[in-house]
Amino acid sequence: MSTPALTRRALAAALAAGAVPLAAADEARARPMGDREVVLGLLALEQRSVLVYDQLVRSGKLSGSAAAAAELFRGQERRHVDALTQALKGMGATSLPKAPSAQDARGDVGELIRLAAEHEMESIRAYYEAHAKLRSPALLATAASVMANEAQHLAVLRQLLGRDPSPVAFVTGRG
Amino acid sequence: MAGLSATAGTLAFAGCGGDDDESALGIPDPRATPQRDRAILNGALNLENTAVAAYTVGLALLRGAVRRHAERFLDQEREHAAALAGLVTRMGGEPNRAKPAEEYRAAFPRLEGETDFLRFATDLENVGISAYVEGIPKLKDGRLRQTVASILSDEAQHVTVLLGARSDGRPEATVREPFVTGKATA
Repeated sequence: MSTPALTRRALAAALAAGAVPLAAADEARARPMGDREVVLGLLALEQRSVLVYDQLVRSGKLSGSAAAAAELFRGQERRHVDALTQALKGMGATSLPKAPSAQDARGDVGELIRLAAEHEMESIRAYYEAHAKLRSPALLATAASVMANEAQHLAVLRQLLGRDPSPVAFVTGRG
Repeated sequence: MAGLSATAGTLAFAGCGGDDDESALGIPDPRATPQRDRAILNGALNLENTAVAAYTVGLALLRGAVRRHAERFLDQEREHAAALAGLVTRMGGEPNRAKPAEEYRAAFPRLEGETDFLRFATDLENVGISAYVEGIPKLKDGRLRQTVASILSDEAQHVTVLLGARSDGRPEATVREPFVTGKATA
């Protein structure tokens, strides 16, 4: 996956070589502000995702597949955080959202899994909306691959709750 | 899986090139046009029609909960195909038609039971996922990108369920990668 950092370097090199029309270069300089705001919002959500699964893991209330899923998904959410952080740094962002502090998880196992499923729905909605706003092809490809992963998390959580893992043909995070 | 590569060959999105300099630069692809959007959606329609044919064939090989999932997936692939055909029509194009069932069957590998079908369906879903992830950045219209992303996410859920049916259902076996690209080994 090409990172925005690479993107910037590639743009500079292409400009130096006269390979990019000036109008396109202007557009590239102006647009990351819009993309940056979108990615900042996604990063804040991903940081909360890590927290949600961290709470599940630390609660000690899960066992078997549920415990394994929480641990696996926490690791995958961390990878999303890393990717979005790198993307923001590549776009020149200097102020990144701070990760929220951990809190104790409350509720029984079913409630904890439902909480995680609701959070995944919120994340999917955010990525769905981001697809209409993002302009960078590299960021769009990343958003698509992350949204699909969140949808898989949701499918597993739904199975753990005894529900249909894939109840709708169009996964938007609504309904 | 010799048949799958032949099948996959028919699935590539029309009008989609490979990675290009514009993508690497983070600049919207200057070749993105409504006409190319329409061609991309029509390519996706081929893919969905193939999935409908595959699940139709597969139902005869499945029993119990796996069959119930496959029935649901078949309905969902039909919904995807209908939505894409509707979009192509609204954009002034002629939606690609599904081929006769025998043509799809001839391109599919030999499927002798549930295990064969689950592997084939996983591969087919991954071919679609890969095409969708590559196609989304090439679409000019943001609403079309949303629709395709919602289909991609559904296909990703199908893969999770199919992998679960082929394994002991451990999450590590069913959600294999944090960035779903369709490139993970089935």
